[in-house]
Amino acid sequence: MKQSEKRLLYFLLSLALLGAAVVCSDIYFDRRDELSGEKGNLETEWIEIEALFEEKEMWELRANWLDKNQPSFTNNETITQSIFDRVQSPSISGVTTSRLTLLPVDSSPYYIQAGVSLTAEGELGRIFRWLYDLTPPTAFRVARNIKLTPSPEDPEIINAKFELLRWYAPPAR
Amino acid sequence: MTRSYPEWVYLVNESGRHWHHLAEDSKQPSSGAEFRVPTRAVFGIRTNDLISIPQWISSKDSEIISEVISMETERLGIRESDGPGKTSDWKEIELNGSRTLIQSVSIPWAFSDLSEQETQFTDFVPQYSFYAAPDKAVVLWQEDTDWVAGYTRGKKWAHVQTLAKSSSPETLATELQLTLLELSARGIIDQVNRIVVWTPYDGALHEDLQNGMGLDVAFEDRPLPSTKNLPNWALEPHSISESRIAVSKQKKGTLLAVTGVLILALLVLAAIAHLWLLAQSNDQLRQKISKNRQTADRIESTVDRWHALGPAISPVRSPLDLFHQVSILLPEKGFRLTSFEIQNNRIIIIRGEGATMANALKIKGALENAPGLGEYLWEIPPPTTKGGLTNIVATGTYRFATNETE
Repeated sequence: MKQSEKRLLYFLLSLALLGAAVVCSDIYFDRRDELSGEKGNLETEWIEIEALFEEKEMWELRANWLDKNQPSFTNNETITQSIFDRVQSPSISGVTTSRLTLLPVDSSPYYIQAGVSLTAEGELGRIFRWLYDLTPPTAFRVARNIKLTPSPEDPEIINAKFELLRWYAPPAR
Repeated sequence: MTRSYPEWVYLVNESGRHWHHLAEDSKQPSSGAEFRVPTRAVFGIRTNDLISIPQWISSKDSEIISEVISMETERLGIRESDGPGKTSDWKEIELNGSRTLIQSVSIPWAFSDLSEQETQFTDFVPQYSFYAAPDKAVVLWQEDTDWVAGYTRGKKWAHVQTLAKSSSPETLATELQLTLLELSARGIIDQVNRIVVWTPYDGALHEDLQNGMGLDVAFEDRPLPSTKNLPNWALEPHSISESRIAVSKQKKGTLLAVTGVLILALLVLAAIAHLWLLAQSNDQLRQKISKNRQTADRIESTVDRWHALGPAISPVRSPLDLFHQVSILLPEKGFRLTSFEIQNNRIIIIRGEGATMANALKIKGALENAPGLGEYLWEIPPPTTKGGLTNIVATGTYRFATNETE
């Protein structure tokens, strides 16, 4: 083999080696980035799990409390009738309700909602007493979209317009 | 310090080139089925391939002598710079006060019997140097068919020369006589006692030399070559130096290439190991997550459920508590709440009237800094004045996502 042929061969071999090195390094860096990204995601996921585990006991207690206290869903008629009845005749004197409108039954993964829209009228203290009675934590009732305004005729009287909702536990899947 | 030489030397005698083993004092044929050519040897430079120049130089400093020799050889057309080899060297014969008698030897052309040799020649030594010089004599011997004459000063070689191709035994005496006259005139040879001939006895030659030179003639066996008193010659033909440099370069190139390939291989291995370790680490983490996933999902579901039911079970987000948190911020006099509204359990809208601008602004600051309303982000435009009263509207938005916003 001539010297020039040898040189050409070495040059081509070097080029091939260089090409292989570039391709291999490209593959390596792609794979490394992929694995590093995956590692980052897994670590984040594990940190989230660890954070959850730190409060595991508290959340188990809360889960048990919810299971025990959240009212169970029976059927649409019963639950809508029940909430309507609850606000039709307020248990506190001096509070009157009007414009009662049933809301359609709604559901989410964590509750089935029955609700009624209404306006209550009375002194501020009485209105609040009544609302407190309606929404203890164990009742799973919520006063939503509440708007309190003084009555135009008598500033001592408050008009409270709101939706009273009750959240029932969905049937077990 | 004595220099060590390979055991083999490549010499030339009247029969031609031959290998000689120094330790065993034996000659070997230069070719033959049984003989294996030595891998390393000393090359004996035939006298016909060298130029000997004896001369007196007015210095004893070896650097100056080297400079003078270099100039002399350049003048003769022998240039060291023609290649990487060393084509001239000199040896001191005698020091006379401030003058030094030296013999310089140059090898200006390529050696014909060096090509196609498989042997690596480590040293290049003038052939005659292997033989002890007879005391104060003219020595005659044959290399192939060439007659060679050597002249000694004391027991040191002072000059050697190949005699003319046309020389016959009859004309040898004349040629020797002329050279001897020149050497004597230049003070290089001061005394010659005899002529030594290293060839088988030849009566005619004996007679011619004795008659022509007027000196005793002795036919003797050529002594055995030896490196015992061999001067340390530093001669190397350009071609040998070039090939040595080429081999060295090739070795370096090969070493560099092998090192490069090894480094690449190591890098590849390291990269594979790194990827494997990363993959292993991810697998372990994935297994750990998978093992705890079910419990974590259960807790997460409870968290979501708790937050979804938050407005019903958390007093902090109850409308009544929020109204309480707002009402405790109101001043006893000079401000009236005209409307309190909560939309979708996350937006609080407060409207009020202040007797003075200062009263309205006080409420603004109180809402933004109230600890009980810290989870709400307040947007309060500048109060406006109407009918002598200052109206203010404040909108607080719950900072976190809620079931409604999701």
